[in-house]
Amino acid sequence: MADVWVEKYRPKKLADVIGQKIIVERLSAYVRTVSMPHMLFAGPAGCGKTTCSIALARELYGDQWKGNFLELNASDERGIDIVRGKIKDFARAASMGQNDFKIIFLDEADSLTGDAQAALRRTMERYTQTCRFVLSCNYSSKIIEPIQSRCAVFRFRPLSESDVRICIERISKVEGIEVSEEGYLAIAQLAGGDLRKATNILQVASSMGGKVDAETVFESTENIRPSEIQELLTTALKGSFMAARSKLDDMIVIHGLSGEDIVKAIHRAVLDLPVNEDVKIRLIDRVGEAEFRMVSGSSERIQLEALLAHFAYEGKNGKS
Amino acid sequence: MQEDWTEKYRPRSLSQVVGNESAIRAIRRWAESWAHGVPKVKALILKGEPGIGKTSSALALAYDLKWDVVEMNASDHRNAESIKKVAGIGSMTQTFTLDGEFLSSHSGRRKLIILDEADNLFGREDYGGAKAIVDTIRESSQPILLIANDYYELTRRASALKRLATSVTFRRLDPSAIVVVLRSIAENENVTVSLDTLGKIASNAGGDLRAAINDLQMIVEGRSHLDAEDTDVLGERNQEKELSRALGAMFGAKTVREAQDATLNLDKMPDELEKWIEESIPSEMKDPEDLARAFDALSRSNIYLRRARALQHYGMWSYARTMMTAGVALSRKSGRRPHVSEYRFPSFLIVMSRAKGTRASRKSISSKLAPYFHTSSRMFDESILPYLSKLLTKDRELMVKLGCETELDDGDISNLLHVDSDSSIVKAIRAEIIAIKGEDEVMRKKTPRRKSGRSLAEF
Repeated sequence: MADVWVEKYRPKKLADVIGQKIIVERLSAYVRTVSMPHMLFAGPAGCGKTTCSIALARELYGDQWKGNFLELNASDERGIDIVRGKIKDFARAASMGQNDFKIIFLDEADSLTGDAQAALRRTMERYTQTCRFVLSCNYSSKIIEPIQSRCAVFRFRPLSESDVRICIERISKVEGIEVSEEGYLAIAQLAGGDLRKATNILQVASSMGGKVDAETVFESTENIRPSEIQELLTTALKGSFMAARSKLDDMIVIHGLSGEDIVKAIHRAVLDLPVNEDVKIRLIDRVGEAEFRMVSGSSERIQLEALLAHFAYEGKNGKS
Repeated sequence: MQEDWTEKYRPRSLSQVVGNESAIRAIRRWAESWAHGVPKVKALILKGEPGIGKTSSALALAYDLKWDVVEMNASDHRNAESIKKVAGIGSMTQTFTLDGEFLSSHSGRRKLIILDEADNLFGREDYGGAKAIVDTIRESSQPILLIANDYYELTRRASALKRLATSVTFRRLDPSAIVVVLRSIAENENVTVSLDTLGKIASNAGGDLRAAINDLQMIVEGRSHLDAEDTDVLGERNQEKELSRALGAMFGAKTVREAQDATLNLDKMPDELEKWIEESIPSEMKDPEDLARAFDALSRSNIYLRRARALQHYGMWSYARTMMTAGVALSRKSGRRPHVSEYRFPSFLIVMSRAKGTRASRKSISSKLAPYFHTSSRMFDESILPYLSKLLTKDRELMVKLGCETELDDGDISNLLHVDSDSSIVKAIRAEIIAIKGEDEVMRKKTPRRKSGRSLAEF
């Protein structure tokens, strides 16, 4: 049956989670004692935060896991209403079956506003008898101190190249696909410790038919984000500011990317640009300034325009 | 809907054209020079702002002299080929109009070729249009009138026009001249309007007679009497012109004070002014270093704007204003200032509104699929959708499965597959989904199945 592999191969048991050995051990202990504290999962994308939470719920509640596990995404429903509404309602209702507590998994909790986090803190305390919170975020520093102090903080590490290999091997064995050595390396390089990305790349590459090697991997990731950013930057470097700006507008408007996402992607792309090394340093300094101005509340588009204008300037400078 | 008054009351003779007497005299003199064979100057360029009588004068001239007219404007395709075709017909064979219609042309009767909106005729699609115009004038044995708002733009594209054609300048009309026209129209339409009211409409139009007539028709529509307050609905016609002038002065400023003062009298909030300046910087600053400096100044200005709003301390607007005007204008160190004929409406806003549909369809997809993949919409768009759309175009079974397990509708499916929503593929997929879901519905009644997005009532 057709499936999207990121869901099909999402581990159902804690023991199957790749990497994060110490964390998995702790979580398994909570399952054995049927008790757990509030938790904060911090770490980059695709390293197992959501997977661990779901696996934990499955092991704690068995078939009833869906009734005792509320999954919410703070970046889609940010603001205080979600805390006062859905979360509170779920928290105060009794848990299903024989269980003492339910779990609220709040993904991307770092995108909750300060007010919402403050409101959450009371809710966590108040319903601690019936409900445990698992908050997930990229950076724990974006979570207010009072919440951090109420949680056991688990730091998820980005996965190593060999972890990525384990993941690919596991899938390719079941799916009966052949992956060449270069194929592994290419996927690991592109995924950079993000298993979701690695799995996606593997599926697209294998959908082209035949063996997965470096070529099919790079072909399958063509036209996907990084090259769009490359195109944006090389256009700017060539001095075509207007063309670069309309690409930028496409990214913001049609693809709905946030300024912060774009600026981070630009940062990653600078190192591969065809300019000399001194220029790269100056550009990255500029990228940092743009991000700083953005997070200080300035218009994302203006900051990105200013940044692209700088790329255009440096592009011309490098030539003369 | 009644007839468009600007057409209905177009002058039928040069003597009826209001204002611009010297321009009319120049046109007459040129027309007379055609009485005895082909004169040295075969083409005139009528230049000036919109709505002040250029096209009307050209048509009125043809009426007066009983010349046939071949007219092309921006609504026609105007690449080299079609210009040559139309003008060639007019100038050489004297037989057909643009539509290929037979022209009853008496021998000896002239045919006037009017190229309206000539400064706008060269987009990518009008490739070669400029050269075609020049060639046409060179080869023509018939009178040609080019009409343009922006003489500079026209002659930049085709500099030979400066030698081949004589230019005639039309000026904006005095409000009192506009009132005269409006009054005669009102009488003719049996509407009673006070002179005061007409004066308001006239001065609001900023010298644009066509705009004034349109405004009058708009407010009169369905009434026989107009009061002064009826003009309150009029949009501020002057605004964009004023804005253009102010931006021109700002970018040309040599001192901080000059640049600041240039925009002082505009009735624009700083954020809106900022958008116009943002839009104009690339056309004003052609040197990359100037461009980078100007945008840096604008970015500083934007920070002040945001701080002012965040702290509700609007005194800080003045810093923003200095940075966005003087900071930007004085970024020009290269000394070269390009000619900018027109300041455009902020393009980003246009892109935004055009992309509304695209954005809505993306949003619809991610709101339905993100929970399925246990991610946020943002995360889904970024790290799943690009791969998923590659897979889906190849794997129909997968599309059907996702259709079964989520609430994707036909519009979402067509967007995911990049096909029309009423295409046969979408219909076939929908049929498969219904076939599977139908069975499912039966199953669900026996064993309740849950999705991640369950309702709270279940607890």
